[in-house]
Amino acid sequence: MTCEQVQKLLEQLTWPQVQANRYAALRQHAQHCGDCQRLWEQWRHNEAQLTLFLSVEPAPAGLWENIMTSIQAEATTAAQGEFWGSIVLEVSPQGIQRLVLQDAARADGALPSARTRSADLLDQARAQLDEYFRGERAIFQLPVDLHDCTPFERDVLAATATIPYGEVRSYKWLAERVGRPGASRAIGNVLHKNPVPVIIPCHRIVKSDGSLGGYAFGTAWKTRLLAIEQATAPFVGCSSTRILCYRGCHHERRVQESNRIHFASFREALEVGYRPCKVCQPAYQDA
Amino acid sequence: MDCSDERLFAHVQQGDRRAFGLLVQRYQDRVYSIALKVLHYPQEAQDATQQAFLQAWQKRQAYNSQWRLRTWLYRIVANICIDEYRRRQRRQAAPAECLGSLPAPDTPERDYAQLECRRALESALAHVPPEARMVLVLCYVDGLSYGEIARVRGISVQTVKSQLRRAKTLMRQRLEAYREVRP
Repeated sequence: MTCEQVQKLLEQLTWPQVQANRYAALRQHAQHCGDCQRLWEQWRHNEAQLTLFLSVEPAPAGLWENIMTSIQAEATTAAQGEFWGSIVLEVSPQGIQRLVLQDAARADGALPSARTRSADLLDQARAQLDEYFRGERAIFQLPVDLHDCTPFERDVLAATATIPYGEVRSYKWLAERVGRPGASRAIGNVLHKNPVPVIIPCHRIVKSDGSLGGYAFGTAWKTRLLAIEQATAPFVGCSSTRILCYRGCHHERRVQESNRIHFASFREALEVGYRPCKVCQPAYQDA
Repeated sequence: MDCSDERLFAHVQQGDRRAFGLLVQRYQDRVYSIALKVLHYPQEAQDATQQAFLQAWQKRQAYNSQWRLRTWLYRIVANICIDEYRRRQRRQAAPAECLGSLPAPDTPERDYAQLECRRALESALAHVPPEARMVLVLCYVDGLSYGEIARVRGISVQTVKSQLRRAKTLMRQRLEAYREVRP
């Protein structure tokens, strides 16, 4: 081994690499060459310092927990996105005509692009549904087109739409409400065919015995929708104007954070001096 | 669960968060150390580590089992660190000297000397260009081979060798200059 070779190797190799296969040759040369001896000693000293300095350091406490929390949050968001993202909307110039799951839309060959006639309305509906799923909206301010429904179906769906956010009613209650007390089963069929579920809240109808009952999109959907509503206070009051809005009303969006008061019930807000917003009119729907 | 990284990651690809937790446990020290040596600041290193693992989780389906897992993981953290370093360069001039925190006034003399030496090394490392620094760190922190470093960085083995030589020469020059001042 020549001095040039030693110099080149020491410039390039690390201590473990030298130990693995060049140690004997390098040491032997260094023992018989004064310049290379100094170079070798210096190199070993530098390597020792560098190895120590660049050794593995323990990660700070709590890093693992932080990483796992962010993974959990990401997984939840992705799962929800998958869940809600499967919705397909169809609109007519009169309003939202149909809300279905992607699989159903594919099955009858009616994907939204084929029947979309109002892009603005579609965007608006998408935005409101997103807000609703995030728990930021308690009412839908969207026109609904029910012209394909029979008068009986329209009555049932209109009565369903009056059930306040976060509350549930029975099939029997709904039957009485539309003046057909013995038609609970027929009402169940109408709700199963509800063309715009979620927007017309047929998930708020449960069985009289307290069990969940069915749902066109499956009971997992019904449970999730009810869970969102249970976790969200539907009313927001402004402490400076004393006006009460449904969460999601555009007046509610303008209330400053410091003036916002959340109410679970309309009556509770009335008792402390709030009056209903003239736009979203919470009193009428809560009656 | 005692099995290879690659087998563990097969579970991760099926959405097993527990298996991923084990991998994080296995690699967090090394990934953090790489990030710390390249970025220098503990908070930035912590953020980069967290981001790297989150990216690994999000892109778990893109992992090719022909690669060693650590190569793939280090590639993610290396890219994040280099990007972060460049962003920082754009924001402000690179910190050149005295990157380490100052020792407390009552530190014993021997500890003080060690801290001084560490500061000299940190200062020397700060003068190594980021690409060469990354090669040096990968080589020393986890003893990666030239071939593995080349795959991590997406460069040739020859480039790995030349960058490593460059980094070590720069470090040596700085350390020798330091020793001349403080023999």
